Amino acid sequence: MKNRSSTHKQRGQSAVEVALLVGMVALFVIGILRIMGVDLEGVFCRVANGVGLQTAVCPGSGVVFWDDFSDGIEGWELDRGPNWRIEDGELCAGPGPEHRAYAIDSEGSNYTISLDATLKKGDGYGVYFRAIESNVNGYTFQYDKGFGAPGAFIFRKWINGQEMSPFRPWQPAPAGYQWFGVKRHVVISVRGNEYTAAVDGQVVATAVDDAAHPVPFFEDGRIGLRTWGGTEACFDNVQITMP
Amino acid sequence: MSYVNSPKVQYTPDGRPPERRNWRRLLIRGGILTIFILGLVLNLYAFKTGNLLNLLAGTNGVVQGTIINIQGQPIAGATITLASAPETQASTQPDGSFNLSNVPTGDQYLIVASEGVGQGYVITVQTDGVTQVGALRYEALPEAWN
Repeated sequence: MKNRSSTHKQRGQSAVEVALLVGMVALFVIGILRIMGVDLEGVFCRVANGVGLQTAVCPGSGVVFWDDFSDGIEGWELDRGPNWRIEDGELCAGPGPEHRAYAIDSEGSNYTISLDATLKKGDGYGVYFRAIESNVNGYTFQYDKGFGAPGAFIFRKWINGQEMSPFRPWQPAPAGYQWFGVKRHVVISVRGNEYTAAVDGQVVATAVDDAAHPVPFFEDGRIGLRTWGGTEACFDNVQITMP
Repeated sequence: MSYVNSPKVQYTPDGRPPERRNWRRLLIRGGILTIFILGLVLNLYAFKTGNLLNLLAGTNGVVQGTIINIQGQPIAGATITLASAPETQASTQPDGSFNLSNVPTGDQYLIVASEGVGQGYVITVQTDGVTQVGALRYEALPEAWN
């Protein structure tokens, strides 16, 4: 009597063989595409973005700047303050005197800035936009614990390095607002002379700069970060999207 | 090429051969014209913004006034400057008064800064004289915030 199992004919390929075959075909196709000059990274990013995946390598369409600080503080001009550092993969500043840093390749006019930020202690942090020159001309959105009794979310203009009175009306923070120790998602929209800021999806401040001669109006410039008043704050996933 | 197939020379009615265009000369003339137009535009712009006008006429003026807080009290030690000329500066006296000289004439944005926060005022500076702006109410300090 024959052993059934030993005489059983094996047909087709095993999973390992199929995987090897697919891998070889993939390598062959990739090689051909590379020879033909196809931008494979671009293709990969389009696929990744298509399924909603955004990374520093594939930041998505319209994204002109992205920094998750995985490669340090490169790309930032540290203008003021002694305590800029990378801590747990985030860019942190303070405590101490005023700290300022500008993203080097962030020149623009109309854009949307988004970032994750955590205020650890102190008066608050700010996000510069349309900032030109070190002694800054431009604007900031400020997550300002130290502004008034409950703190507030405000937009300010800077002229020749002078921080100007905030745009009115400003919006005080709600009573009991948790300023410290919470990572907030901040989005700032800059369109023409209208600026809007949202924190964790809630619009917290709007401003319209209706400046006319001789009041200066700033049309473009870089983005940046600042802390003041003994603040310690950390920033991550800084992104600029252009319309 | 045979003589028969050679291109014809087009003569003008008075029998002279046509004048050839001198492209090099045209290019140089065009360049000079462009530079002239650019210079004209730049000068017009400078004239319009007032800097050249002031430079030519020597008409920088003086601005005098007083800075008060929301209670009407004078603010001492406030810094006064101009958006268009940050090097032009003055400080307020104990009675809140200030005297800002070498101010370009025309509309200016005067910036008053106290305790690190600035407030701007649009003023018009008269030619060759002292412009009195009176009492400027400074409202950028915390007591006016809420």
